[in-house]
Amino acid sequence: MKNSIILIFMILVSALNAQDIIAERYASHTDVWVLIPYNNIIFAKNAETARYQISIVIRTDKKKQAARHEETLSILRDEHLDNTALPFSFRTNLSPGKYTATMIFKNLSLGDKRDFTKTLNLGSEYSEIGLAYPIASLKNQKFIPTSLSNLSFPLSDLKLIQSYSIPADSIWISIGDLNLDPISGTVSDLTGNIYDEKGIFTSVNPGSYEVNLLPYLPILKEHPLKIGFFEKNIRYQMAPFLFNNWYFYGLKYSPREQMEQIRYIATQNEWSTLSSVPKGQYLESIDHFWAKHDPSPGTIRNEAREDFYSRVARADELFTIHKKISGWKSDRGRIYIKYGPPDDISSEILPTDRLPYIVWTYYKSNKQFYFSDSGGFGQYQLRNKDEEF
Amino acid sequence: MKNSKALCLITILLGICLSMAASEKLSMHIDYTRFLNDAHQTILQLDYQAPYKNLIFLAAKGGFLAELETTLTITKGDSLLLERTITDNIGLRNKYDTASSKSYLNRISLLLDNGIGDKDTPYQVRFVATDLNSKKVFDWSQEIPALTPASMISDIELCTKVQADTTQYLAKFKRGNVLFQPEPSAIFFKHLVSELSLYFEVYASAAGKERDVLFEVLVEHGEDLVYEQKITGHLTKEREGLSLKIPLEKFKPGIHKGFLSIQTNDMVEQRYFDFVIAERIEKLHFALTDPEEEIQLIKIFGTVRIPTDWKNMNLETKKTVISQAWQTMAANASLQPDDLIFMISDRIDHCNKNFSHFDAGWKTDMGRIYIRNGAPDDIEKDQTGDDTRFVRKDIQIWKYQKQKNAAYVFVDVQMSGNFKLIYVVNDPMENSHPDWLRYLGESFDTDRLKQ
Repeated sequence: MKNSIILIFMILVSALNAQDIIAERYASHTDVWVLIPYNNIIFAKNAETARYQISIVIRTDKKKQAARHEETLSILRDEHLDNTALPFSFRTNLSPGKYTATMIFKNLSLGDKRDFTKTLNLGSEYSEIGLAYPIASLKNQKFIPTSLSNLSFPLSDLKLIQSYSIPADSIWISIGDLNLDPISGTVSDLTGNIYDEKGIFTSVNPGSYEVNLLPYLPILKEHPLKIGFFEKNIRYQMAPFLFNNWYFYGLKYSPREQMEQIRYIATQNEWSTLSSVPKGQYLESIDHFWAKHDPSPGTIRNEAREDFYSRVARADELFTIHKKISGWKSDRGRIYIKYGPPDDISSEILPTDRLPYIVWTYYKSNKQFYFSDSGGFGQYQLRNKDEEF
Repeated sequence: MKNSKALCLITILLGICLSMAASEKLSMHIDYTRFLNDAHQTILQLDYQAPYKNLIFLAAKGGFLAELETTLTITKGDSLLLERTITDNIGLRNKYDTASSKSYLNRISLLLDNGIGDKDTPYQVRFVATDLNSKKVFDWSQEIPALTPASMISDIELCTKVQADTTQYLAKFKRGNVLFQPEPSAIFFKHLVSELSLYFEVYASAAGKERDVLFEVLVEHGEDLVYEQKITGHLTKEREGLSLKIPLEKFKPGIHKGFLSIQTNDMVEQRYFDFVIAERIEKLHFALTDPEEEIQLIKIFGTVRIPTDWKNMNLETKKTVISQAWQTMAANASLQPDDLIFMISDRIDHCNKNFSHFDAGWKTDMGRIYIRNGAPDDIEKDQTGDDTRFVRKDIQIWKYQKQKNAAYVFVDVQMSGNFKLIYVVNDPMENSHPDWLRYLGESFDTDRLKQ
């Protein structure tokens, strides 16, 4: 009986399982990053740590092994780590092409084993600017926080790590509001050291940097961290890559569902191309779709995609009323995904002479949507569909 | 104590640096031209040009964006006639354009109202442009008098291009369906512009619309008269827009002074214009020494349109076309032109070493495929079957995974080592030989081309 409860619990946990594998390809090497949500780690009763073995195998399309990495870890149990992610990275060399990365994550103390597969498409061009990973340490346990402003517990380390392949003239890291001014920003000297006006100092290898953020925790509580790259007369701006709930997206929704969600935002031309894609290539064409809609050229990060994913996740959280009637499929979910959270909501749950209704108003785009509950079970339906397009 | 002195010094130096940065100047060009409208009021046309390489671009919204805030102030005597601030949003898709010699061009047209103040008092025009990303400032002011209503001729607009164009590109610079692309910098590169176009308008005097006119154009370089032309004409309209072309071929680099006079009946009016002839400043990109051969090489890639009048171009223009083609191809491949040329030169060397026959290796069928696609992922060497009309011949099957699983079958038709492309799959740029079955035989299994 006890075993079966544990089994059911494990299945439930696996459903929430959300790892991600990110590959950044540079001229001299390829960095592979694996992020595992801390909430997925299972600890034995009263145990201080959990022992896990992680192994990643990257194979080419011809099933030939291109890279392999194995690590045994002991993961600390601490409630401060809830909702964060545990990062692992290793360096290898991958030529352009299509790869399948398989990760096996094995609990050495309890014996459960999970695997995760992701296809990696590496183009012929190098990653121009990689993700900026903020890596915090709590009693030597590394993790990626959800926000830099709420790290109130004692940390042993807090670093920002990023790689790049563009010939950057200088890199600028700032905390607080700052004008785009190269003089007050970071100036990189000939030895490759960078300083900035807040005195953050760090040593730089060509193509990557590491900044110690620990002394600036009090400032980080009030001001956001910004990163800027200067390449001749081009400036790239970005924020650190924090762990977020949109990570669950890839595992929560099947490729077919992801496709249906993209239909909400794709133009007619894009949709006519996407709808003719064979089943096996769904994920690839979704990647392609997002690459076209990347608002920040040069960087690996795609803010539009993250925004869309978090909207889908939020729509599901808000509007799901039954397992089979997902929130994102509902009318309110669709409007939420397309237009974001409304500026104003007015509703009447029990009007005397009409059906219950909700009105969403978007002031900026001057749109108003009327939802009414004709069935009486909370399935609000859009009444003015013409407004939507 | 020593430390604090050093700190003081650093602070002062930093302060000086900062103040220098604040007053940094933005380099751009502006030019004005005055015309008369039907009511004989002056229209002021301000053309400004900001070279992309002088602006700072932010990587955002799927491209590279620069913002140029322009403020135009016009005063006459003590009265402020106009103060207007507009932000020009400049967006580029191609990263390499940000560092190129291309520039952003815009125009402001205004009606100078003669009714205010004394007619002879000039207008004070001040134009301030700020690059919002770098805070660099361009400040220009000029005293501009209105054209007298009795003027016979407008100011001269210097154009790099006057051509028919029905697209929306540079819509502000069109008169009818003809694009007059001005060059406010007045710098003309000989390899880019073969002739300088002067646009001006001629107005009828009170005497009547019908008139005979004599134009005289002179261009001086230092002390020398380098160009002279006289044109006579008969004009019938009240307002006539004319454009004159001056061929630049024989002009030497340097400042040139131009002079245009118009003569009708007994009246003569003159206008002056200055311009600079410049030589190429940017680096040329080329892989081969002969432009004729190189254009064949560029044609292999099929991504760049070759101008139809290639045969009539001079050597300098051909070099420019080739250099621009490499730049376009490099931008498409997200590479620097030099890196692309290095890669292609490597492939040419490989082709010449391995596929050369009567002709250079890169000009053969195998060379063409190798240059475009690089080394194949898989090469299968075999012989044709017995059921062809010929004796057994060597064949090679080249397979590529990256290029959408393209595969090519080459046959050594003449048994001389010069392999010909006979059959191809998954490459829309190549055609199979219509009679490929005759070469390969009925028994040839096309499944062999699958990956």
